[in-house]
Amino acid sequence: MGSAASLRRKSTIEFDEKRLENLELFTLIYLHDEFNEEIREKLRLTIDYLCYFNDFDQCEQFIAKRNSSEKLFVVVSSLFAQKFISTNHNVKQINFIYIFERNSDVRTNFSIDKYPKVNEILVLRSNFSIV
Amino acid sequence: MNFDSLIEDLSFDVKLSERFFDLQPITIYNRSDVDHLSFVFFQLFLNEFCLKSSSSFDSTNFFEILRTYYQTNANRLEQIEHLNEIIHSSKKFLRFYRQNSFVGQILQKSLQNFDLKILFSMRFLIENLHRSSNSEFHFETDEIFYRSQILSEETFGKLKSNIGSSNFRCFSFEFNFVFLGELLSINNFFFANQNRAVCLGKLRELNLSDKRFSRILFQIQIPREYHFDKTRPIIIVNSHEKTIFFSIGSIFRIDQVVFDINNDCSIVQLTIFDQQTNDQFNDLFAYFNSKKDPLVLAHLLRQISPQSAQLFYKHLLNDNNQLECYIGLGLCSYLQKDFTQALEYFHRALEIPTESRFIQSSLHNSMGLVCAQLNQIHQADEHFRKSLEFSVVPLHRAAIHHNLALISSEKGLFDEEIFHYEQAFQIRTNQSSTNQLKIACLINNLGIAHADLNQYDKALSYLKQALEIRLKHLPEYHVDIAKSYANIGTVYVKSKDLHVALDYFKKALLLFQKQTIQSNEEIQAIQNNIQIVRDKLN
Repeated sequence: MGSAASLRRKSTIEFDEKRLENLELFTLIYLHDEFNEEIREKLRLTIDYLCYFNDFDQCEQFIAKRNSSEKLFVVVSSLFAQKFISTNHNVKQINFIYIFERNSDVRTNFSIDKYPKVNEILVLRSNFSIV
Repeated sequence: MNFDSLIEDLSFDVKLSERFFDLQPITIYNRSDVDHLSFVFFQLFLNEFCLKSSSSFDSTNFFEILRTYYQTNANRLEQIEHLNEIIHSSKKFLRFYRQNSFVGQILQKSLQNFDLKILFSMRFLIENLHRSSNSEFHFETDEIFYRSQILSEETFGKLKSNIGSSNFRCFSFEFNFVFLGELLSINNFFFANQNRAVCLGKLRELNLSDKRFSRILFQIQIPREYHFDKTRPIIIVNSHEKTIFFSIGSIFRIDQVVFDINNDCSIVQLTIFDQQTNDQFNDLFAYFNSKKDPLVLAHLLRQISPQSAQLFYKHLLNDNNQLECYIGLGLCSYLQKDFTQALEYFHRALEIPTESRFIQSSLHNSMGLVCAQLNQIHQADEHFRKSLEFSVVPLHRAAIHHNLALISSEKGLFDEEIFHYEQAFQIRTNQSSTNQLKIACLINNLGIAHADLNQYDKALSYLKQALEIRLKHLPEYHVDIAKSYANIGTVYVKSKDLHVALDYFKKALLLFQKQTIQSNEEIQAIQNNIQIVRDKLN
């Protein structure tokens, strides 16, 4: 509510709906305004499982749903870059982030600190047993 | 800069990543139940369901899955058709496997996620790669091979805490298998090389600023007398380069881990494990050998990943195994905390008539568990009693008494609670293969029950007995030891021996803080306790 965003394009997500699950190890996320058939084909020569977004929030939601064993490679346009990096710097599934623009290209290999997050309640009694 | 340089960077990083990540899943055989089970699951799946089969497996299912999956990727489709053509030539196939990593990736991913549909479709491939190995081969001298690797902090931590000794410590498990400690299995095919400098060079290529991963050099020793028998063969890929290809599920003993400061990596020294020379290891599979039923695999998987097992049970469900499948499905739901669904499956199972007292007992016990979780204490009590009535296996009777004790405690009937613990205790001590850790757990709970009855001397004596057993059978920093200290501390607070209580709480806190996976709640709880005791002392 009351967001400052003025120009809001129709959002697009593109990935094969039938392929909900990635059979391979790596996922490529492409968050950019520009996308076409040629780009798709070339990208898929490197990583088959390609997910294209031009909407930041949908991309965020997608990343949030990844399970812990996944390995993500992310290409972002400079338009999204700063926001993306500031909100995703501690997402442990992301292995590489590339900032890609037609005229400039900076590659960032990311370092992320680990925060152990496990909740185990002090159980004095042992549990019920299945027989 | 143009798009092509992005593609180039991407390709480079992908190649680098797959080279280093492709060994997972590694399972380390240690004392945590789930790790044990994963280890056994992979070995069982490979030994009994892929490699020992008399008939050869069909590849059509696999190719069908891939053709549908890669529909929109022309490049992959082409590779798949090529694979289909060369599938019967093991030499060409091996070369393909080395050059096109996606097949290995699919295998790895399905092993990691316990995706049995894919795994079963890939059995032809596992068997094919495995069969192409040179089974008669042995070396003239002791040989060492190297393999550079990136490991996650979690895997590396487990590995470090399981460094082996020459004497294997053995202890038995609920099913009376004997397990060995300090072993590691690498559940994928992998290459290793005798050129140490090349391997270290590869490791340096990866700019690893990420602290969640460690650089590792595996140094794998193969003793001269080791014969690459048919169970775990290797392939000499290139005798000039001295590269070898280890078969899937190879088992190694973890000898030592040292940090090499000059090369900024950890060196993990492994020795290939000779399965044949160890009878105890073969006993592990003796039980499964007799049953080729995939349900065995499903039951095992249930304890590792109930979610995957659920799909597998549904896949296996047919007229002949309805009863066992519904019980399995119910237990999967129970383990995922969907208790209403679990109860529904159990009721379906209950409708199927059976002669087997064993199954009836186990079903009622399961229903008792669900009722207990749904807070239906009386129904739970009833089911556990029925289960006890049907039970024919002493160890199960012990487990059911244990459950009844927990229910009695819920009802506040502490005398009854103690009665059931004592029954369970008696049964377990009368068994020839006693599981000391289970006994420790029973004694521990007996101690707590006596504490609830304000019988502190008895409580302390039981709790200390449990601690003693745990100290003897568990690694020194195990979390159960910390819990024992915490329990003893709590009883000392109740019996007003505050200084002694403080000592135990401090010991517990120290251990909780030493855990690789720390629990903030436990640490917090102990710190609170310490504060309370200190306030009382002042």
